[in-house]
Amino acid sequence: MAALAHTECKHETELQRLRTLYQLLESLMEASSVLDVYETALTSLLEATNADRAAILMFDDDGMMRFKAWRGLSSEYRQAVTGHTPWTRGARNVQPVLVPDALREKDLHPFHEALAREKIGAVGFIPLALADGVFGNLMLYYAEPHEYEQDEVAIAQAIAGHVAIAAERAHGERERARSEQRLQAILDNSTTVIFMKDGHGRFLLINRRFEELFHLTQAQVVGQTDYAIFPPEVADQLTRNDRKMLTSGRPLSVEERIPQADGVHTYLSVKFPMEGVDGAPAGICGIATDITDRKRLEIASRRLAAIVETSEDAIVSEDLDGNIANWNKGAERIFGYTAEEAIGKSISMLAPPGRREQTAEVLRRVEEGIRVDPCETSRMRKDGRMIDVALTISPVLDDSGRIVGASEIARDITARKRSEEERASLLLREQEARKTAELLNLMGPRLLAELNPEKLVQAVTDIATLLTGARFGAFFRAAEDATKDAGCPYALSGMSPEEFAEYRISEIPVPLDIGTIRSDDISQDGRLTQSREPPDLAPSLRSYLRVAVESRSGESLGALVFGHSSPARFTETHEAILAGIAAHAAIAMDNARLFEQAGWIQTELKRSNQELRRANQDLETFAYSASHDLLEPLRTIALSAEVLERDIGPTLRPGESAFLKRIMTAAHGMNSLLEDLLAYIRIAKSADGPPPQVSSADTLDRVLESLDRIASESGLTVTRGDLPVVLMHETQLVQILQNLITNSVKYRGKESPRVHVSAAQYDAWTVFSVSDNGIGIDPQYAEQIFGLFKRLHSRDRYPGSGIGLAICERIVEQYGGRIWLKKSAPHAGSTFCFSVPASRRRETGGSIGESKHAPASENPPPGGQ
Amino acid sequence: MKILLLEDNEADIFVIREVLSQCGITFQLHVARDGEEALSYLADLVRSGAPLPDLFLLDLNVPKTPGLDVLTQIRYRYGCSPSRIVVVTSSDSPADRRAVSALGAQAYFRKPSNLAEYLNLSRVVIEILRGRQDRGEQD
Repeated sequence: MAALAHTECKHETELQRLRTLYQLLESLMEASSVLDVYETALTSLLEATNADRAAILMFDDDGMMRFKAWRGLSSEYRQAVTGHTPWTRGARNVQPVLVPDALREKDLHPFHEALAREKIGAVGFIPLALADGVFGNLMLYYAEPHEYEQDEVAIAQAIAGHVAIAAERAHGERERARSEQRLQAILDNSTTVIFMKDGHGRFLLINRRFEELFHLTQAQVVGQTDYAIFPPEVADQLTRNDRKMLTSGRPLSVEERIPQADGVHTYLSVKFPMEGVDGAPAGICGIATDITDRKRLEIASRRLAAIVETSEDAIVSEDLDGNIANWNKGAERIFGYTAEEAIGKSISMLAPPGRREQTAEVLRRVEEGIRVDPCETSRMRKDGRMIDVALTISPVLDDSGRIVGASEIARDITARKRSEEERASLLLREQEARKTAELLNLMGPRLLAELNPEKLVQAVTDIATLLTGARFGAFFRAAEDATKDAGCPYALSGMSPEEFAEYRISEIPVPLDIGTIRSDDISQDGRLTQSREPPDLAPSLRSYLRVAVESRSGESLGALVFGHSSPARFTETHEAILAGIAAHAAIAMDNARLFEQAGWIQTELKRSNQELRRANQDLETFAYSASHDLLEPLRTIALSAEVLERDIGPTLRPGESAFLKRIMTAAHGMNSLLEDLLAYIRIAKSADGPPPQVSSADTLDRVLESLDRIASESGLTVTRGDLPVVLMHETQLVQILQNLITNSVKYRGKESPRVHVSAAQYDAWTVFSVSDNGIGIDPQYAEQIFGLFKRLHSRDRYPGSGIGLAICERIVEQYGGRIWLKKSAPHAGSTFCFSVPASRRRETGGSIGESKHAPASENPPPGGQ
Repeated sequence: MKILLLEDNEADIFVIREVLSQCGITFQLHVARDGEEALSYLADLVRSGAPLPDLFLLDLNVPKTPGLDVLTQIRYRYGCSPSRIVVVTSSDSPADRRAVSALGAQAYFRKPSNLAEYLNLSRVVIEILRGRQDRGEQD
């Protein structure tokens, strides 16, 4: 019975356990979360085993074993044993570890205290393991040491199996959700449109970009087809592409045009199949990128390309290294290279040889952002022909505005250039004519200024040869035989005399009555060939031009002759020009001739002046030393005679004494004559240095002082006007005034002598007048009186050497002045005038009484005076 | 009073002697008729330890050594003061006047051609001798 009871009991227990397991399964089916599973599992464990407490632990991601669910465990205990496990994570083929007496188990020794405190006597570890190995364990706790029953362990393992599966499933779902979330985040943050459709074209998923673009929510879209979202024709297009992809089973890249709020957009859609479970396509994934802008650019650039391609101009682009990147049809036509030939080559191949660096320079400027102005230049074609092009160069920028190259637009302007050149040549000819005229005008003064006849003639010949473009130009001087030009020219331009001789110019007869001869071809000239004696002309001479040069008086000076070995070189214009030059030359030659003569005369004059000066000097030196040497013996004679006269005079007979007297008189006379002569000669020697200023009033005072004796003897009275300051050496003014006043006294009449001294200003000159009431001078002797040793009266009547006025004249002449006798009636006295340089300074404190007018305006008084 | 006269013209020597005698002094006149003679006379005086002349009357235009050279030696070789030198000459050349002025002389007396003016020389001589006596100069 007991056995039966035992069996029955055991049976009962087994039944209970099965029930528990079943209930567990049922609960597990209903469990909505993994935590529910754990709770259910714990309940089942406590029901189906003898354990009084239980727990579920799992390895976390960090590898630590942690409690996930428990029954009847204190937090202290859980904390104390957390991390403990009999197995490492992922261990396979593990068996439950059943500890019958926990406090005796030495493996659990570290936890004995915690176990004791928690009153745990036995503990069982049931692994939670699946294909990947252990990932947690179920714990069974017993208050007392425990003997484990086989069934008890089996059911615990069964429960562990369920928990493992449930936990694994929960974990997988969590992972899947997480990955889906990640995917959605990626999809939603993508700027491209992404969607998924099922095999029937119904949307399964769209990303946020899709929602935003079409203002629809995921909920509104999912389950719908394109026809519910887009207009029919758009939906047709999209579905057609979907089907095309599904049919081929391969990804499809296609442009789809979708209307949007701001107009039709172009999308580049990549559609690829979504595989079903069996590998057959079960749906469509699509990624669509909006390429509207790119498309627009593409169209624009294609349009541009078309324009470029059809342009008449060469349009070429190059990178900064000068390598050609684009080459249009125009470039092909203009430069001769095909695009294939040109692209990749250097742009410098178009530059004319020797100007290759220019293209590099232009590129450098473009690169530096310097504006390159449109210009006209030359380019070399493939065939080597040079063409003229108008060039416009602009920088090529990339998206960021960086200069990455240059574009050149070249227009062939060769034809235009040619007509321009024709116009330019006309213009040039006109300019040349004007230049010739200017040159002529310019040449005139230059020729006139040239006073060396040889240089002049050469210059004329050179200029004329240059102007006419003649092979040679020659100037012939008027020859004895006027009918021919001499063999040898006076001046030659353009070639050597030897070469020139071969032209045999002298063979050409010169008609006397014709000034100018011009022949396009002298060898064919009828005037010569049909004459009775045709001249033997040089065959090398064809063009001939001869212009006569005549002086103003009509005298022939010579001729300018020009020649050229080609015919018709000289035009009417040349003839006119040469006539002008010849006229200029004639005047210049006249001038030069006169100048030459004048120069000769001047040289001659200078030479004779020098001779004169030297002779004068010699004479002066001679006169000085002669008079000086004469003076010494004369003085001895005079002195000796005087001593003799004094000592023995009284003892002499009257006749003897008279002789002695005569000796003395003669000696004294000669002495004073020599003294005067010396004084006269000394004038030149004494007046050295620039004349100082001297007050003529003071000078007169001094003169009167020295004449005091004479004045008192003769009863002389001297009156004066305002006397200015003059520029001369005072001693010389003294000499003049002394001489004149002495003369006045000497040649006085019956009345006592009266003298009036005055002065007047004439421009830069002061003219003094010394008038007296003396006997006067016959006007016929007015010139004579200034001669050396000239006397109008006998020495007996008026003593004197007759040198006084000569001295006066010599003095004033030294200052550039003059002395003269004013015309006066006989017996009405005489007036001597002399001019000396006026001082610019006025006499202080007085006006000039007899001044006729102020000093000349061309000599204004210097400032500050 | 010792006087040296450098003069080659006998008429001048005659008149000068007369001028000196009019000065109211007792004098011992030595006449040198050319420059060389004048210099050797001076050299003799120095050699014999005799005093140099109290007055020099020098013509410039003399034979042999010219008067200006004699004047130069009197001034710089014998160290005589200009105050006892008188140049008596017929020369009126500015060059001569400048040279004399530069070498130093008490007076430049231009020889006149008449006796009356010649006698004016005595005034010059008297002035010099009086000044000399006043200062008590002795060589």
